[in-house]
Amino acid sequence: MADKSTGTEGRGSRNAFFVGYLKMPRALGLFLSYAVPMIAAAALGAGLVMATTQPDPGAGRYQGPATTLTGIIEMEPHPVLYTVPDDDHPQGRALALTRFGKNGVVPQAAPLAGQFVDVTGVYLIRDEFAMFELRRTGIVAAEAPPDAFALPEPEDLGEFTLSGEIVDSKCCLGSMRPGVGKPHMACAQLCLIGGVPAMFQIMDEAGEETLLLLADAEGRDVSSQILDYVSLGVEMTGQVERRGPMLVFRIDPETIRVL
Amino acid sequence: MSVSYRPVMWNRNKLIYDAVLVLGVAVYLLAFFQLAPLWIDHTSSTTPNIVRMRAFGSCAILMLTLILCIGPLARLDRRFLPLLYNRRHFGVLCFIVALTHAREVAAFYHGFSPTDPWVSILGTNTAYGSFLGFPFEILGLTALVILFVMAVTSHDFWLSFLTPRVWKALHMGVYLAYGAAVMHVVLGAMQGDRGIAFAVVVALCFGLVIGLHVAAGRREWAKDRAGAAAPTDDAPWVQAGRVADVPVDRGIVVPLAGGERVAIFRYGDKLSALSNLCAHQNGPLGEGRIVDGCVTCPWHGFQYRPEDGCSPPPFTEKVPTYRLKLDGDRILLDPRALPAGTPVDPVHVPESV
Ligand code: HEM
Ligand code: FES
Repeated sequence: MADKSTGTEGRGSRNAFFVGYLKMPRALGLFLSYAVPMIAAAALGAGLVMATTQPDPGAGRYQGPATTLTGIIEMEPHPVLYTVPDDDHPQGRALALTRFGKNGVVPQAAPLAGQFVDVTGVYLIRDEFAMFELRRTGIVAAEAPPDAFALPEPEDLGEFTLSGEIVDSKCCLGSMRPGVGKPHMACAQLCLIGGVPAMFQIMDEAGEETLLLLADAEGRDVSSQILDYVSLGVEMTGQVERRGPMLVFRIDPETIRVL
Repeated sequence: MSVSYRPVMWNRNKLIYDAVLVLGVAVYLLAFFQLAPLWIDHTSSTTPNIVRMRAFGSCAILMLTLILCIGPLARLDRRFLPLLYNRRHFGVLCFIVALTHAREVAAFYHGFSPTDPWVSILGTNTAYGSFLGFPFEILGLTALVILFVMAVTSHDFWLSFLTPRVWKALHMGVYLAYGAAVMHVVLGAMQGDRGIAFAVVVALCFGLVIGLHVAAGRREWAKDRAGAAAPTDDAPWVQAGRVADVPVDRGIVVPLAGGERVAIFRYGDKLSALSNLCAHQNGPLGEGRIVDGCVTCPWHGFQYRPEDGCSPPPFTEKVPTYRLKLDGDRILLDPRALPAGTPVDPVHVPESV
């Protein structure tokens, strides 16, 4: 029965009867040649709306080429390199460390904790925030510094209740653009599980952003206790501490409240 | 139809259908990747992997929306029936697009870590009790698994293997998939800073699907009420309309009290009645036509002889038949269905009627 060569033709597209294995009635073909492109155009339009309203992901990026920085690594709550001051950075810099993938550098840094080291890698930079991703030789022992150089003394700034978003520093600074927010939640959780330093991103009324390194009340890694709150708007209470150019937020995870 | 099962039975209409589908997806992706950036006025660029996630994810949800609109659209205006004919290929392509989206997510958001990406999708975020923190990926995975099951069982082999009833019930899962996909977007992308326009598009899609289904359902319900078979003094016979209501080579659909529907066809000077449900996917036979002397289903063109409800050889499908008689110009129907394929003598319409 499928060998018939013409469809059942009625007058006008409304009367035409379509049988899939027969030839399309002309009037119906004509109707579809208008209707289908219109449907397709509507879908394409909807897609273009979704495509053109993608938000600005911020200007985070990797900045190479690989360079070697000299300084001391503080291990708690996460490995942070405090660099020797130079002309550009009279205070020295505090750079949280990561390596390839969703990984922290505890295994690489632990044997050299508190020692004077050379760290080779590239910057991850967004606006005035930066961290450092190991490349090539990674962390090796360095010769002693010319001048007396030590880790900054922590300075207690008092207790604060702050609201913002718990982020993985690496994606937040531009390893992924965007690297914050709900769609990125599971990725950020994986980063924290892998040892990427957890940070708290807060904005003041003027939209000025601050990033604080997160720690528990004793100043140790708190990541495993805050995973369910990553990427959400939260409020939490703790001591803010200044360590040179780095702010550390020593929180009590019990105080976390989803906003 | 189903004598033997080849992987896919192609014909000209299916080829055109598939070509339009593939072209549509290609144009969509090209527009998302190449055209849209011309309008975006921020200088920072979104990571290409994330753009790809969004392109394939949005394409999949739009495709699923269209797939679900075809059914009610064809009920409201039968000129859309050709879009229904090959809808399963639409579904399979939608699955492939959605899978590409999910693989992109698995490789990027769940990659670069010692945990296996798919294990990570299932196990990294477990905040099921939370609304804001809900692991929306699971909803996407649910939708994807349903689309997968539907795609692999889309062939007519599975239809006859599972029986049309089970198959149809299984394929109703598409609504579950759509619900899960919409919630996936509401609890995921929409909770990020994806913006109001994005939310409006998703809401419009959802509203369109609901709106068309409600409109088609109301139309169907009104038709059933208007055309319902009235009892006669001559039980069990019921009134099934007038001869003049049945156009030549076409049918009418007569709803019975029990919810069944009967298709009455007129061909030449004869009338015959069959179940309205096509043995293939329960398409509405009464909305079909007589082609080559056979009742032909408007959905995929399966054919049945009006006298006995059997597909002509070599095909083997059968539908139940019903007895008819005439009382002047009124058609009377015995509402007790005869077993599928039972021959019934057609009723002859006298010249005078
Ligand atoms: C294993 C299955 C799936 C996973 C893990 C998954 C994961 C994700 C993730 C992580 C996002 C956020 C992407 C971003 O950062 O912008 C997303 C967005 C999205 N997903 Fe899925 N998804 C899955 C399946 C699906 C399916 C089956 C559909 C639709 C049929 C779908 C539709 C969408 C849409 C429309 C978006 C929003 C895209 C945009 O922002 O433009 N997803 N999905
Ligand atoms: S339902 Fe497919 S041919 Fe009738």
